[in-house]
Amino acid sequence: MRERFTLQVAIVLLFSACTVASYGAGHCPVSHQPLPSAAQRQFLPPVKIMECFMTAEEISTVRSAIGHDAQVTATDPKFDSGELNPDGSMRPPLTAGQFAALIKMHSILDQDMRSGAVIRKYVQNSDIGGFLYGRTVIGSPSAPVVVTTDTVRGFVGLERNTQGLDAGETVGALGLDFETTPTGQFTDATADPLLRQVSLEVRTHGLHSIRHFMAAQGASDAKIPLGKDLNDTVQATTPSLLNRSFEMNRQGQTNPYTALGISHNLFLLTLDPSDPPTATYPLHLNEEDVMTVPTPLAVGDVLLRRTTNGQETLIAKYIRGHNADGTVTNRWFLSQRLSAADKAYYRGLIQQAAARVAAAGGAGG
Amino acid sequence: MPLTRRETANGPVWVRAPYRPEDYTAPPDALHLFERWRRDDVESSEALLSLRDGPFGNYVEVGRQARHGKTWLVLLEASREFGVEVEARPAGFGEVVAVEPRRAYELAVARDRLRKVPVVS
Repeated sequence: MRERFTLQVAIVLLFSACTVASYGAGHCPVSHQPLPSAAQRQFLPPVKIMECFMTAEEISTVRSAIGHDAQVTATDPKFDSGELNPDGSMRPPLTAGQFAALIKMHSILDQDMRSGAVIRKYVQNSDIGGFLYGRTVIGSPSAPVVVTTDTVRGFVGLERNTQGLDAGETVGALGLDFETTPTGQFTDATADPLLRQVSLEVRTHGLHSIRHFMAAQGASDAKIPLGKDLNDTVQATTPSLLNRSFEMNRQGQTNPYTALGISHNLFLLTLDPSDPPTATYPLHLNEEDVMTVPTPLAVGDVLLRRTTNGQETLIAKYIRGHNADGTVTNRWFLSQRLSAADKAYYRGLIQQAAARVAAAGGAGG
Repeated sequence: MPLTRRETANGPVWVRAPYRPEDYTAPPDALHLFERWRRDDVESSEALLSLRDGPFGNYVEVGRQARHGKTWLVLLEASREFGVEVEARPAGFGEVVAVEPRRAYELAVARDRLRKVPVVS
C-alpha cells in the first residue's frame, strides 16, 4: 500500500510535541511514554492512546472481539438474526478477556468525547445537496416530509479516528457500508464471493464529512452503542462509563454493526494497483458513538471532501448570514476557493435538493 | 424485568421472576428520551423506531391504538420490559406516557411464545 509519509511525519512531530509539552506531567503506565494531554489526545490515533494504557495483548484481544456475539442474553426474537454471521453460523459469545479489554478500551477512549471535541460525521454523497440547501425530503414517496438539515445525528466519531487517512482507508476504518448491493454510496460489492471495494461514487466524487465542534450537551448525548451483554457489564462494573453507553443490539446477519462500540472490519479491497489483488485495508481500532438526540450544527462547522489520494478540500462553511429581510440565520456557504467545476457540481446538488423540497410541498428558500 | 438464563438437562431456559411492579415500571429517563424527539425536523414516529443508527432499536411495537383522534404506538423495551405509549406523528413523537406495570408485564409474557428459548416461571 502506498506509504503515507505526511501522516508519519505528522505523528512523529506530534509525539515530539507530546514529549516536550508533558515532560514531568506523568507517564503512560504501560508504554512509559509521556502522558498525552487532553488536547493532544484529540489528535492521536486511538491505538496510540490505547498503547499508553493497555498492553499489546489487551489490544490484540480487542481486535479479536470482532465477529463475537455481544448479546447472548438478549431474549427478544427481534435480535435473533443479529447473533448470526453472514453465512448463517452462530457468532461465539465474548470471552471474559474480551469483555475486560473492550471495557478498558472504552473507559480510556470515551474520556475524549467531551465539550470542545472535534467529531466527523461522514455523509452519503446523495445527502450532500440537502445538507447544503438546509432542507431535504425524507419519508416514503407517499408521505414525504420536508425537514431541516441543521443537526448532526446517527453514528459519529472523533476526528482522530480517521485523521490522515485517505477516502478508501476511511471507508474501511469506519465500516461505512450501508448497502449490500452491487453499487452503493460508500462501497460496491460482488455477491459471490463477497468482495467489497470503495464505491465508484466515492472514487468519482470523494467522501464527504461534516467537521463539528461538540457542545457539552452533544457530547453528553453521544453514547457508545453496545450489545446487551457488554452494556450490562459496563453499567454494572465501570462507574466512569455510567450513562455513557446504551443498549443497541445487532439485527440482521449481514449488518456491519458490531455491538462492541467499535467499527467492523469490512475487508475492503485496497485501491492501490501495486497491492496484491486481495489486499484489504487494515483495521483501525476506534470508538464509535451514536447521537441519541440530534445535536445542532455550530457556526464554524465545515463540510470537507476527502479523495482516494488523501487530499482534503474545504467545500463549505456553516456561518451566520444576513437574509434579504434583515434577519440572520446560520447556513452553509460554499468555499470561494472551489474550482469552477466544483462550484457547478455543488450548486447542481443544491438545485436538485431544492427541487425535491419544492416537489414535496416545501416552500422555496 | 430481564429474563435470566438457566441451564437444564433439556437445554437452556429463560426464567421469568414473579411479577413485581417495580420490575416493569418505565424509568423517567426513557420517557425523557422520547420527549427530546418531539420535533418537526425528523422522520415519522414509525421511521424513527426503525432507524438503524438511532436510539430506539431496543423498542418493539406490540400494539397500536386510536384514541381521541390520535394514533398511539404501544412499545415494549425488549430487555428491561417496561412499556411506553407514544403518540405517532408524521414527524417526531407526540405525547409520551408510561405503560402501567401490570400491562407491561402482560405484554412481555405474551411475547414469550415467540422466543427461541423456552420461558419458565
